[in-house]
Amino acid sequence: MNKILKRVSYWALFLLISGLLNELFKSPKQILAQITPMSLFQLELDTWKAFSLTFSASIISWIIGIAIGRFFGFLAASTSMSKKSNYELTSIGKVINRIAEWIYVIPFVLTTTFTYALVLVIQTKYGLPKYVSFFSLVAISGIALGGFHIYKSVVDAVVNANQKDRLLIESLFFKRKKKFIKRHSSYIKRLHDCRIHHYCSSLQLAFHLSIVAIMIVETITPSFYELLWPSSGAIEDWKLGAGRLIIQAQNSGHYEIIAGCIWAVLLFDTIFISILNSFTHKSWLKHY
Amino acid sequence: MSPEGKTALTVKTSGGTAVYKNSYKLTFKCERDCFVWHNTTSSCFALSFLKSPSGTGKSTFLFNLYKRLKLREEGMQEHINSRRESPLFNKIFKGRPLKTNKINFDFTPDLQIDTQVSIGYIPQDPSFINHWKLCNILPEDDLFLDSLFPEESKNNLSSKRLGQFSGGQQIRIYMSSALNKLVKFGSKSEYFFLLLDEAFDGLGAINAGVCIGSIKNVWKKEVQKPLYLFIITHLNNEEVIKSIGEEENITKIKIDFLSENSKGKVVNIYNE
Repeated sequence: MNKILKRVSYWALFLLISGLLNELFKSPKQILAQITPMSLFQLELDTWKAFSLTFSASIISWIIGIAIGRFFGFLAASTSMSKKSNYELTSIGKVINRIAEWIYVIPFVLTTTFTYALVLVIQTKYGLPKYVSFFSLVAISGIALGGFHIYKSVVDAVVNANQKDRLLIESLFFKRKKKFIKRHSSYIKRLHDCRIHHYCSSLQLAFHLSIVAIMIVETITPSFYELLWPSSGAIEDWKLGAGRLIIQAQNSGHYEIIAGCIWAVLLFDTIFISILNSFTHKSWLKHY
Repeated sequence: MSPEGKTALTVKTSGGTAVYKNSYKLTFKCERDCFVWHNTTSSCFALSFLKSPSGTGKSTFLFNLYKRLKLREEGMQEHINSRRESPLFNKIFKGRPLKTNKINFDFTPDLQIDTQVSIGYIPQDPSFINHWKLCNILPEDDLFLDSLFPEESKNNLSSKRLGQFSGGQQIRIYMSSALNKLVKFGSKSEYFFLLLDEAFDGLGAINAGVCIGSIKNVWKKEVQKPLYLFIITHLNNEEVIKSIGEEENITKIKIDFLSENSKGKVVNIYNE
């Protein structure tokens, strides 16, 4: 709660200082006055609408990133625990790990364009609806950057687990699951619990990265949201998303709009991370 | 014994044998370069204190014992023996004993290959996963917690989280959980081992003795199969034993640091 208050007071301070700067320079056309948090108030309604799309897509991509990252993290971790003689299983884990690292290392622009091109071909060939492309791009945005950190936190918790933690988990009583996979994943989850702080940091980082990824996708994919809501004729500006509006502002030299967008992203990020932190704190961290 | 080999810890025994009165004996065989474990009693409960100054290799000794027993628990003994007997293996290793651990243990003939064992280990300074609820790490029909926590009712305990307890209480909860695991999942096992690395040191000698006594009583009443408790401690053994109230089947092991060379430490493990 203190952290939330601290964040709110930071923002109040930012706005106060920028208000004072505006008063000081008098002219709203002064550069310094236009790049302060007061620039938020200069954003038009359409820009806020565009941001609502961007932020919604970011949250969806973050959730997908967590789900996929955890799934493959558990899969790779469980194969790493298998007996060394079981080469097939251990090699599956190695392959998953290698692919995950490649996806993260390859520039995100390339990953997105490749995915989009591939999905378009599949969509045309099999007559799939357009929203398949939209969700594929949202999913790859979550997986490629944020999802990798979630994946890594799960795998690291098992592969690089402290020996003491392993011994402890092996020795303690946990309700035995009937199915082999559930039993295995329960063991991984216990080891993962030993590094819960790391996982909480990964959740935060994944969210920061999901906003970055979605804005990149909006920038490089023409009419990204039209894949979800196809319309005839000229598309409204806000339906292009915040990423595209920033490009338009850049081309027309409206740096104050870009500054406003930066502050809007920071504001949204602060709000969401505060909610996330209060959840992780309530669920896990307050007990430490 | 030969101190050769890539070991961080090499061991010597005084007179070649460390005898643990009544319950079992651990003999060091120089020619096989390993400890041989013999059961000498049908008692339900045996306790060993391992006490020596820091840096002499107590935890290493206990950890190697755990690893060796763990292999047995997982049914690897047969696999190891088949490898030991294989001509190719002997050719490669020129008759050297198979070293699965830094210190080798042999539990035959008293623990036969088909004898099932269950093993638990509470390491020194374990991680406390404070957000775990007690009901996640303890069964509903818990056998040991009441005796380890006489001051609190069971209903209060199960709904609490681990972070709501002090360090000493958390260790007792871990012990209870480990003992429950031995009982619940080791129904086919004939021998049970619980290794505790300085788990009682925060409690003080008297409380440690009371805890061990409680474990012994519940085990004898509920399980009636042999439990071997190995404890590393810096506490005063005599005080602990006095609090348990029974000297039968209690042994004291000491490790003395002799020297250190490029191959590791040379230590002496013997019955006090």
